[in-house]
Formats: sequence, C-alpha cells, structure tokens
Amino acid sequence: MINRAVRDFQKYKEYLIHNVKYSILANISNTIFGFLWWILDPIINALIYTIIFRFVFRVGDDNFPIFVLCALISWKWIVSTINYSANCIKASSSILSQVYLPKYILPLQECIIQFIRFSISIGVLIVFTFFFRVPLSLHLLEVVFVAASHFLLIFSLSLFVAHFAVLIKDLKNIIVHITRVWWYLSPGIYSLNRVPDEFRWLFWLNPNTTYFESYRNVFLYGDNPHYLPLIIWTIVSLIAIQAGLKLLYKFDGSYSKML
Amino acid sequence: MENIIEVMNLSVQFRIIKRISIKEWARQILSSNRPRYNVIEALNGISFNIKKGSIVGIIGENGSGKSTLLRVIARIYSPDSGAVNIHTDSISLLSLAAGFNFDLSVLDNIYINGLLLGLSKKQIDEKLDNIIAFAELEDFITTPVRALSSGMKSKLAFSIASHVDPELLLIDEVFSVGDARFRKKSSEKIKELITSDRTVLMVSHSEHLIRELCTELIWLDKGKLVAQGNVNEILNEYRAFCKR
Repeated sequence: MINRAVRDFQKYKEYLIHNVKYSILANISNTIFGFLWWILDPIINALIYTIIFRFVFRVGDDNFPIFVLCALISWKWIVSTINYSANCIKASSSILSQVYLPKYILPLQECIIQFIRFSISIGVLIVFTFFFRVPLSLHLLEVVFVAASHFLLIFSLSLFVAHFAVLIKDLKNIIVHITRVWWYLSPGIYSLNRVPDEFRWLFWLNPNTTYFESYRNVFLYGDNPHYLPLIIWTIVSLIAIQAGLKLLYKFDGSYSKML
Repeated sequence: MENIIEVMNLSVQFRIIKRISIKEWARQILSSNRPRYNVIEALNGISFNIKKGSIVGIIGENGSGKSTLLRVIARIYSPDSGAVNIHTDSISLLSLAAGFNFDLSVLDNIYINGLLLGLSKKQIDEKLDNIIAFAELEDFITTPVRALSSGMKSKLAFSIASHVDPELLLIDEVFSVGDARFRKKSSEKIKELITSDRTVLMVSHSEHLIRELCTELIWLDKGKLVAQGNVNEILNEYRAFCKR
C-alpha cells in the first residue's frame, strides 16, 4: 500500500506542485485583500481573545497575544485542512469522472496548501515576538520537528475526513461542532497549568496539547518541545496514515460512481 | 498481435445516491442487516480481448454501458467483479465533459489537465501553442475558464485531450464539438489520431464514421455484450435490432 502510494506520488508530483501553486494564486487573486487574509485571520482572532482575557477577565500576562497565537495558528492549520478535505473529493468530481487520480492526492494537496499558509503565519508570529520583546532562542529551530510531526497528524486526519465526507452527507455540519468543542477542550486560550492536576493526564490524550505546548516552548519560553509525546503522536499518525491510504485505495474507483 | 486489453467477466454496478446522513449511518452500523442498495447493473459479465493497433467501435443504445466501459478501461471506475488487464500506462479518454478548475485561467487549466492526462510539464510547454491555436482561444489565455462559453470549454477540452499522444485512445462521442467549422476540424484531428498506429476504442452513433474507421465492432445492450467482430455484419444486425 505504501509502495503504491509512493509510486503514485512520484507520478503525480508535478500535478500536485502545479495544482498547489495555482490554487494559492487563484485564492489570492480572487479576493480584494488576497494574501493579506492569511495574515489577518490569526491576528484578529488573537486580538479578540486578548481583549476578552486581558482587559475583561484580567488574566494572562503581557505575552498573552503570543501565547494565544502559538495555539491559534496551528489550530487554524488543522481546522482549515479538515474543512477543505471534507469537500475535496466532491469538489473535484468533474475531474475525477474524466481522468484517473489517486484520491489521496486531493487531501494531501489541502494539507500542503494549508501548511504553506501556516508557514506564513509562523513568520507573522516571529515578527510579533520582536514586537513584544520576547527573547528568541535557538530552540526556535526545533519548530521544524514539531511542524513535521504535526503535518503527519493533520494528513492522517484529512484522509479519513475525505473518505467519510463522500459517504456521509452531513459530515461537514458535524465537523463544525466537533472542532468547536475540540478547540475549547484544548489548552489554546488557557495554559495547561490552570487545569487541575487530577485532570491533566486527560489533556495529554488530546494531540493539541502536545502541539500547542510545544509551539509555545520553542517560540515563547525558549525551551525544548515535548519530544516524548511528539514521538508518540508521530507513530500514531503514521499508523493512521497507512490505514487511511488503505481505505482510500480500496474505494479508489468507487467514489466517482457515488458522486 | 498481442492483446492490449483483456476483459474477463467484468461487472460494474452503481449504487444510487449512497451518500447518507449521519442518522442513517448510525442506524446502519447498529443494525446487523445492511440496507438493500438501489443497485444498477451498468455492465454485466462482459468478456473480450482487444489486440494492439486495432480500432474498435462500440455501439449500443443509450444506457447500454458504453461510457461506463470506457471509464473502466480508463481506470476511473473500478470493476465490482471480474478483471480488466490493460498492458499500457498511457491511456487517454476523450469526451465532451471536461474536468476544469473553473476559477483558474485557460493556461493554468491546460497545464493541470495535461499533467493529469500524463504529459510532463516539458511536453506541455512544447505543445502549448498548438493546443491554444487548435482550441482557437489565443485571446482568452488568461481568462478564467468560468467565463468561457460552453462551446469554448468543449473545444478546449477536446484540444488538450487530442494533443496527448496515448498508446490507448478512448473516444466517447466527441464528434460533435463546437460549431460546424470546428466540427470538421475536430473530426479531421480524430481521424489523424486514429490512423497513426495506436489502439482506439470509440463510442459513436455515426454508422458512417464506424464504417469508415473501425476494424472491429463491439455491441452492448443493457450492460451485456451482444456481439464482437466484423463491422458490417454487426452493423446490419444492430440496425435490424433498432427497428424492432
């Protein structure tokens, strides 16, 4: 299965690169602010949370915007990929009824597009850390490991979402609610330290905890990411990717019959 | 001559609108008896071989499974039972419905479609001028495909697909693209594609074209193979059948 996926990847690599490029260009040129939306979105969100928490509830410290942004931009990456993946096979139905395309290429494409978006947000975040005079350390470079592991997790999720979204028509509505609950159950706008000790282990079952806290460590606290949970989630993701690929290949020639 | 396509006992079914809501899905999982699908047998136990270099016409009434058969051979649909062996990787399906990304320009769509049809970027660079000239879209290169008329879209689709040089060419009734002038041009192009030595499977309702081009004929009816063989014999039988 993995062999077949790798072979197909090589075969459709050029297509993938072009399609990612064109999708981004189309996305940018079709809106007035274009590219600016990609930067504005996390900033506006961070602003809202900062106003609510710093000035209304009076919690958090001066670095609260950075604290929230670390979680927000990585969360945005997950949610956008999931939402787009839920639509990707159906949106390509006209192409899929004309030519053969290994279906996993479609969610993969969304993952890559959203990853590029995420990378730009990381740039914004770094600019913000200068602005807030957060001392940057060499731990910053370790973001590469966190993001690589995070990519695998998101890719595994997108495979399953892409598959079930074809079979279940209101999956998109359900996703909206699941992701909202998921966000508030993750230490995004609050720190894990505020969670009572006896419940803290539960939070580590949520992959967001590992990633949010790891991004904070490298950007804000000048510390190592949480390597042990990162490795565990990477292994879980790899297993899930294999299962997801198997699923998509099993239904490879059937999606276009259902659309 | 060796076989390029071997189809053995092929069946393809469509399960009609099997997208379900989460409620039905949960019910399905909880109850042990799976629901009965509304199954349509598009192809039913078809077997045939096609030799390399032959030009095979496929005839049959609407809904007899002609397009489905082409799509199975193009690997778009997977067989539900039986086997299809195709001894080439270079397959291209020419048909009227094209897969475009409507937000992107004509140029971008040529690249994306060409890459999907198995051309490399370099090959597209080389053929680009010809593709645009043939589609007569020189003035619309940067226009989003969404803004093209439907005639222009099918011209573009035809032009891209006909510039792919596949070993196995599948043609699904594309003999009526565009206006009268383009129609003439496109049927000349198709004849050019057919006569250079490659294997061709073509679906057509035009007896005239079939007699002119095909070396062999396959007749499908209601998803079953009725006959395969000599063009004139089968055409005569088919005509008698249609008059019933």
